[in-house]
This record gives sequence, C-alpha cells and structure tokens, in this order.
Amino acid sequence: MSKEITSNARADDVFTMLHLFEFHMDKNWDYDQADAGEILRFTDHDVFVDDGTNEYTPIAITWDKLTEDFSMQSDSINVTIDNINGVLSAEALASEWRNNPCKITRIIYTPTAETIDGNTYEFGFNSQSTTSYPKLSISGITQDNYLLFEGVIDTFSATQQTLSASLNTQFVHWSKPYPSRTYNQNEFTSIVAAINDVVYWGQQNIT
Amino acid sequence: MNLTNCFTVAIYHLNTRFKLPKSWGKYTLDINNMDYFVKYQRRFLAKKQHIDFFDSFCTQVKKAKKDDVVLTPTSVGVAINRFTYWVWSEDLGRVVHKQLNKECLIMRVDHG
Repeated sequence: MSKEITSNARADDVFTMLHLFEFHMDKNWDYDQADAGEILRFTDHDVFVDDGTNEYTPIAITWDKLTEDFSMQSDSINVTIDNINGVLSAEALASEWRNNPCKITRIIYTPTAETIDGNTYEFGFNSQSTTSYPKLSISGITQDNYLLFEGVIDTFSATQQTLSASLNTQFVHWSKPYPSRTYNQNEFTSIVAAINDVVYWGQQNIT
Repeated sequence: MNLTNCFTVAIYHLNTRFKLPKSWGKYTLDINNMDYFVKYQRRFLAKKQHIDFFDSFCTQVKKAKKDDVVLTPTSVGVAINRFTYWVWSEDLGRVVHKQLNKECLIMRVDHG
C-alpha cells in the first residue's frame, strides 16, 4: 500500500508517525457517533493525543502488519493491547466488543523542536506545561492523515494484562473470491481483469 | 501560587472546575496560600487526611470520569478518563499520567 506523504508533513527527511484507534461501542454498524453508545479512543503514541475534538489515551497497542494486495490479506488483522490495568480488562470483559466498528488512522507530522534541560529535541517531542498532563495537540500541526483500516471486531479475548481482538473489514458484498489455484505469471493479468470485470474492491462492479 | 506537591496542584486545578469549600476541619483552604499542605505533606498523607478532606465534599464512585479526584495512599490526582489519571510527580517536577488501578479511590465533587 502506498500513500503520499506531502512535503508539508516532514522536514529534513524526518517525520513522526502515530496511530489513532477507535473502537465504537454503538452496536449499530452505522458508524454514527451520535448514538448513545461509547467510543473508546486509544493511541500508540506515548502521550495523550488531542485532535481538537477527541482525546486519545496512550496505551501499549500493537497490530499485525497491514498489507493490501490481490490476496486481500488486509481483510483481517489482529490487535493486541498490552500492559493494561484491572479497570480496562474488567470493562472489556463486561462489554460486548464483537461486531462493533473499529478504525485505525495513521497520522504523519513533524512536531516542533523544543529545548528541555539544555537538550534540544528537534523531532518527536511536543511542548507540555508542568501543570497539565502531557498531551500532543495535532489539530494545529501540518499533517497527513489517512484511514489505515476500518472494519468490525470479529473475535475478542482478554486477560488481566492483555486484550486482543481480530478485526475484519466490512467486505459485506464480497461474494466472488479470487480463485484458490495459482496461476502462471503470464496469464495473471488477464485473470485479474476478468475478475475485476465483475467485482471491484469487494463490491459488484457497476461501471 | 506555589505548586509544589500533588495535593496543591490537584486543588488548584479542581478549583478552576468546581466550587470547593473554603474550610475543612481545622484547615482553611486558601488557594493562594497552600504552604501548610506542602510543608506537612507527608503527615497529611500518612494520616489519610487527604481522603477525609475530599470525602467531606465528594461522593465516592466506582467508575471514573474526567476531573474526578483520584486518591491513593500517597497521592492526590485527577482523572482524565475512566482508565487514566494525572498526578504531580515530585521526582520529575511535572505532571505525569498513570493508569487507574485497584488501590485508587475515586471521588466525584458534589455540586449540591
């Protein structure tokens, strides 16, 4: 998968990347945030991230490598939240996670430099006051952001220390999978063209 | 304003959000003069007077939300959400965030 990173979001070939995770608890599959349900927001950054509207809680979260190719490998990934506390695991076990929407957003930006105790941090650190908890506000930062993954939570498990979930993309219209046999490289282009004649990105091709 | 321990930092923040009582027990809560709570911090915490203090105008709750008071045996913090809270770190000289755990006592300021 390739995404364009604009020159605005980096300087001297250096940039910072973080991810925002949203686990919707609205149970309606409609991504309607106005629902009474709740949205849990986390980030893999090391401080809180504020996008101007919502605040994302830093947490040790990892996920499988994302790929996007003809084999449709990105239709499912596993997400693991590590080093959690009893409050989060208790909450997780008391809630129904399955079939709820979730999404992962990637943010690429260049934070401003800051000098702390005589050391200048050119990138990777954002200003913070001494009387409020460390928070990165990305609303005013030039950035590239794009949706990395969007789907539903398929399976979910939790222990005292770890939460893990399998996320599936919503290929609800996917009715014609690629053939399971392998093809010669020479004929592959025509085969893919034939498939795409009927199906385009998981939906019926109506063009 | 002398912001030098977790209690005074939390009180200063809460005072901007809620109407806190002017006095409690033998203490007078002067937001501009919190030296007593800094000077006798260890005694104040050791006797769990910080818990008694917040208990006098807060209600204990099980699930935290933003700006709830988070009390541990040795510190006073403020909830960020139901999973985390922030607290002044004397070692670092700044506010840090921590995860809520079982030893945390969560109290919500009464508005009535």
